Amino acid sequence: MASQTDARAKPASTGAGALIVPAAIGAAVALTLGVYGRVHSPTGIAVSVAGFSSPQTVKVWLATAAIFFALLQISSALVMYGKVPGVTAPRWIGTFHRWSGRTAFLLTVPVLVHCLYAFGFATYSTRTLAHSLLGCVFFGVFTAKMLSLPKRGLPGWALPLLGGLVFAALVGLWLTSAFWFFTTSGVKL
Amino acid sequence: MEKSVRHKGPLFTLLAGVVLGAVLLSLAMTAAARDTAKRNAAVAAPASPSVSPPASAAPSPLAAAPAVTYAGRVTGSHATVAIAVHGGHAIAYLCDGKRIEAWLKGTAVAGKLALTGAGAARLTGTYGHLATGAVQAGSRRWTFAVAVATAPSGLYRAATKVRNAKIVAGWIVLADGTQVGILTTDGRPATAPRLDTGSRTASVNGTPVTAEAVDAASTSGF
Repeated sequence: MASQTDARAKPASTGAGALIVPAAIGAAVALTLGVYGRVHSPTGIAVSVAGFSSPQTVKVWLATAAIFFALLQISSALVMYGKVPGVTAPRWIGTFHRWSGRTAFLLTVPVLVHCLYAFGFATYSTRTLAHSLLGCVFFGVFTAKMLSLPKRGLPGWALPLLGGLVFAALVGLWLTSAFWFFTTSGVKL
Repeated sequence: MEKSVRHKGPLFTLLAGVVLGAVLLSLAMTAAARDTAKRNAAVAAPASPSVSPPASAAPSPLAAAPAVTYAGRVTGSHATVAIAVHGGHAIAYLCDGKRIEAWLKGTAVAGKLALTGAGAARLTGTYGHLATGAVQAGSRRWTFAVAVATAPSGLYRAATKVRNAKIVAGWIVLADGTQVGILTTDGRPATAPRLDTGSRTASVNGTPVTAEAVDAASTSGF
């Protein structure tokens, strides 16, 4: 609700105001995913990938690979911002950051599709509720960050905050799914 | 050049995600449609010719019928239904994991299900390779087409006393491991705690409670 009102306000061209439109679109993405997951009846079925024992294990490993690239994301960001003592950012760090991020994001898309289409927005336990909410938040904040990146004159905290939220949401998603799977079903392909 | 790439890069990233998602979604939809067609074919074939004629010829083919439990989601909702059929009797449980639940009991004869439960709950349908039909609880009605569940998926129930509170819990465990259950404590329904299907125990306010797999022969507590 609040985001709709915000979207109508005239966005300022510089400063934190420039975040309003990306944030509103991100919120809309999160809401859309959540509402779709809730109203769509889960099929329990999606495409299976050769070499894995079940769609669930495919997701678990895709998510784990995404976490790996997300760790590269956070470390390359720290280097870019000069937060790692004794390390000067190499010239390629920006490219590295962008492509590891793209890879991590694209790895999460099949997981999103399977979760939404086969399982839907689930609330039957704290884990599934947290996972469903974090999933919506992750793709919402990621959209907001992508839309914020080209903006000029953003406050210095904007991108680290958005990036940090994306990372935190992804780690939460992984803990409530892949990590849970590893601890209940064991580590298997 | 560098500037325009930097401007559009994130948008391309988003776009790539949307396109990939759309392709995978359409593949998933195709897979689901194929599965539905396969299931319908499987149901249409054996249900009518092989189940009905022997039943009309001999009125009591019940003893030979194996115990089987069907479980799955009802059509167009997150609620689940499980139906245990054995020797002419059937027990069914409808559960949305939050508030709506109904235990039903009745007959499964000649491929036809007819069950009733408290508060005018009613389930009618057919069974064969799938169980299909409609279930009514309260003012709501759902239709379903659910497949046979093999352990550890299926229907579980626990009824006992924990710290002087009467508790009744039902769980429907689906093939993917998803559990949908309600725990009623002194008549108040809430989402059931997770059931360990290996040891068949769940922790209710710290007290371990043992559940049993429901087949139509188990009549305890109904």
